[in-house]
Parts: sequence; C-alpha cells; structure tokens
Amino acid sequence: MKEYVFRDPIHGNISVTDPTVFALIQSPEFQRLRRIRQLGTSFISYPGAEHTRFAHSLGVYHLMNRVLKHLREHGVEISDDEHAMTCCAALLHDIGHGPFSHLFEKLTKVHHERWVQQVITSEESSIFQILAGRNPAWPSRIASFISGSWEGRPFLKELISSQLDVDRMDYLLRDSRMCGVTYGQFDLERLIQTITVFDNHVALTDKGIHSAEEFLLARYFMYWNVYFHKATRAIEVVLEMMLQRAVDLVRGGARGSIAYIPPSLEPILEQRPMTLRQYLALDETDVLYAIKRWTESSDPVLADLSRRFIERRLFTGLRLSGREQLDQVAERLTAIAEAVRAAGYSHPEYYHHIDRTSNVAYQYYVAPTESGSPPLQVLVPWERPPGLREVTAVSDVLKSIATERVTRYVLFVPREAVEAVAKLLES
Amino acid sequence: MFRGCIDMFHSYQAVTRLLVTAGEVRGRKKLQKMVFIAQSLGHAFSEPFELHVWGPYSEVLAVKLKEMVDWGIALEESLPGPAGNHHYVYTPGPRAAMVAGDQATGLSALVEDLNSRDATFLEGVATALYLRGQGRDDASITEILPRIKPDKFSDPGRVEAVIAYSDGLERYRIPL
Repeated sequence: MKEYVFRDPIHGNISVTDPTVFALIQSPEFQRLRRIRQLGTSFISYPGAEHTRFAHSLGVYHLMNRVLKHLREHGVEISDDEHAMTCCAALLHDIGHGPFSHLFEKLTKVHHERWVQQVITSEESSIFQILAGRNPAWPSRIASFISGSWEGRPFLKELISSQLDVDRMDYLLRDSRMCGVTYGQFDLERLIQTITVFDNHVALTDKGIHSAEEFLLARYFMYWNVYFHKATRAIEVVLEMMLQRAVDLVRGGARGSIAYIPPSLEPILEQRPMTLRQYLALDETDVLYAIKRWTESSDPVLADLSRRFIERRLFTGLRLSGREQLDQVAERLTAIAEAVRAAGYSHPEYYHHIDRTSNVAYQYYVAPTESGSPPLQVLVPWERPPGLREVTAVSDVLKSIATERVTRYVLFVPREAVEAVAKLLES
Repeated sequence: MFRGCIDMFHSYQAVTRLLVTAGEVRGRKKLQKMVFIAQSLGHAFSEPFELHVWGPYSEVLAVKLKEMVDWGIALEESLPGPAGNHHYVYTPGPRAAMVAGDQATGLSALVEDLNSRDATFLEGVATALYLRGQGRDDASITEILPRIKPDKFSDPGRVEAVIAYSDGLERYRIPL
C-alpha cells in the first residue's frame, strides 16, 4: 500500500494510504480548492490568511480518520467500509464552495450545498467516477451524508456536522494559526481522547468537559475577532457592491463599459443559471483578475469600487446599537442615501450598506426542537440515573456564555459621508 | 435594479408575508417547517434548507428571523417551557405592513392550513417533502420516517396521515 504524505502546518504529516482518497485529491475538482482561500477576504485584516480550502479539506479528512480510529480502538463498531466512506465525505465536505463563497451565494441565490451534491452525484464529474469506481452506492450515500438526509448511524454524520465536528476542529486551529492569533487554539488531543458514542450519537466523556469549554469558547472568540473583523466586513461590502454594479451594468445594457468579463463570470453577471462545468471553472483567479481589469472600466462606479478593493480603501463602519438606532436608520434610509450623494457619490445605492453579522456562542436554553442541531452532550456517570446531559448542565463557564443569537449591525459609508450620516443617527 | 439598503428589507418580505397571514406562529421549529413546506410548493422563499435532526432547517432563516425582530418587523415573545428551556411565539411587528406589501398569491389558504397543525406533525410533513425532493417514493418514505424519527413516527397511522396530508398540500402548489 503506497503512502502519500502531505506536510501540514497544523497537523504535521497527513498520511493518505487509501488509493480512492488519493485519486479524489488528484481530481481537477479537488485541485480547484487550491485556488479558493478558506477565509475569503480576511487577508485584508490578517495578512497570513492565505490558506486554502484545499489544505482545510485535507485537515478535516485527517481529523476524521483520527477520530474514527480512536472510536474503533475504544469499542465502537465501525466497519472498514463506513470508515473509508466517512473519510471520503470529510474530504469532500467543502467541494462545492466557490470563491468568496458567501457573496457568490447571495448573487446566484444558490447555496454551495447544492453544488456539493452535484459535484458528487453528477456523472460528468471525476469525483463521481472515482467514488462509483470504488462502490456504485458511494456517490449517493456520500451526497446524502453531507446533505443531511443520511439514514445511517447518526454519529457518523454528526462527526461532519454538529456542535462537535471535525470541520470546526480543523478550521478553528487552522484559521487561528494562519491569522497569527490564539483565539482559536484548544486542546485537540484531549478533545479527541474524550469523544465517545452513546446511543448512536456523538458525546463527550465527563473528562472532556473542559475541552468542550475551550472548544466552544474558541469558536466564540474567533467569530467576533477574526471572521467578523470590521475591516474584513468593510472590504466584503466593497466587493459585494462592485459585483452588484457589474450585474446592473449588464442588466442595463451597458456591458461595454465593463473592461473585461471572464467567461467564468458571465453567467453570474448575466444572472442566469450555471451548469456544473461553468461553476467549476470559477475560482479566485478569475475574480481577482477581473477586479484588476475593472479598475480600467469606463463606468466610474465600477472603476472606483474596484480600485478601493485593490488599494484597500475601505468604507468606514458606523456601529448601530440598540433598537432606537435601528429604528432611526429604518426611518431615515432616504436621508442617509442623500447624505452619501451630497458627499460626492452620484450612485449612493452602492455606497452605503448595512452589514449584518450574527453568531451564537452556544444555544442551550432554547428547547432543542427550536433550533436546528442537537445540543452537545456529555456522558455523566455520577448522576442518577447516569446518562447524557446537555453540556451547560455540567459547565458553569458555558452556561455563562450560552446566549441567544447576537447580531451586530454596521452601516458602511465612504469616509467623506461619515460626519453627515453620523449626525443623522444622533438626531 | 439594485436599490441599496432597501433591498435588505425586501429580503424579509416573503417571511413577513407569511407571518402577517398567519397572525401568530408558535415556535421556531413550526415557522421553519411552514417556510420549508411553502417553498417546496413553489412559493417565493429563497432560504436554503438542510435536513437536521428535527427535519429541514435553515440557518439563513434563523438569522433572518432574528434580524426581523431587531428591525421591528416581527415581535418575539419568549415563553417558559419545561425543564427551564424556552419556546417562542412570533407575531407581526410595527414594520411588518411596510415590508410585507401586497398579499402573495395563494399563500393565505396554505398558511392557515399549516398553522392549524402542531409542530411535530409539520416536522413529519416537511421531512416527507424533503425526501420526496430527493427522489424518494411514498413506500420508501413510509419506511424511512419511523426509522429516523422513532420517538415521533413509530405509529404507522401517523405516518400514513403525514403522507396523506403531504399529498393534499398539492392543491396549494404554485404552477410553474
């Protein structure tokens, strides 16, 4: 059995001995992930945030392999087929992501999950051919595994997507290390050691309570300090407005004013459905080159927004807090637009934007049926009867940060309009 | 064409219309299932759904609902539930009429019908419709539903009722 080793800054050596997994990694669809950054526009705030979805996907595969080995060594029955298939699902969990994923989903109104399904189950995809070659049932099983309609044992699915999944484990560590922060660090070794399966669901042993605390806190801190960083949000607003302007120019019959449209971007700018082949042809290379060319556009709005992106000239963010201020914004949208226009922007609709970021540290006191995913459970042997307890029942730390969803609103405007808009919000 | 911030409020329109039509929806799960079912019948809801433990669930919708409450488009009342947890009741807020605009075609009758059912039943219906969307036939759904939800759908009569009700919902489908 040949072994392939990938040197990884987070996990050290990632070993691949399964020829199916190696074939998947070598496929054009997977190699494309080398050209898509894991954190999209975060490089604007954290210069080290250049790591790719390729590296992250390998990391998730590696962690899944480790966790499954741990569970099997501790008496959980997992067949070789289940093990191999679950590892492939872990490797492919992000295969459907595009460049600047969240933004393009907004523009195309197609969630990346749908592309995951298509990449895995479409016969024109080499991913399908590789999986079907191993086992004809694998493409549909892996697709249902990732989509959630999986009918097999729940814990296998939960290891990919739940409050305690290998996806989160890898991205917290990876994003934290590459951004040069420590918010996302937690004791991975201890966490893996304490993962168990109870009644076919993922749980932690009682020895894992503090690891769970670290893990959930890591996620909380990473969201508010890295993923929702103000500068990252600001550049994403610029990018969104730029793409929207390009769409509007095409829709309005002015595509000639756009300096250049890469073939891969045409369906998006023309707002028509994309084929799988078209979607897979799109990566960051196309988008970034287009932005560079758009600085030469004869349309002043597109040119300005593109230059802002290239030169990091961000919008300024005004944090909106409290119901009163949100009410003021809602009542004064027209006045805000006019203030932006008066500052010299003849198309104010592209120069003011309310950014919304939302996170919840951990939902616990919402009835589980009110939310989407099952709570994180801990196996507690000391209680009577022994069994599973939701983690905040045994952790005061998590209980203190467990909260309802928290949403942050920031109104982004050009620097020249800040004073006038701020006055509107004060009055 | 793009209208800037106005488009943000426009993105809440479909869910707002559902809420205005219903008058009151008890429970986040119920709201999630109502939106999913309406969407699967061709009504204009754009939120992406995944199949979670309690049926089709949309994180985008969950976020949207929170934003609607923040912006005064929806009101949220928290009621104590058993074991110290909470349930939520949603009603239209002061800005709902402004955002909802005109009534959506064919939505009233569907919403009234769905709102008259309990959340668990709708969970079964939504799951059945999700599986149908994945190409499963009724025989397959009859076998799967009790297997993935043994605590709620082990009674064959209840599964039959879910499938019959799902069939009946076709009268509310928006033609293409």
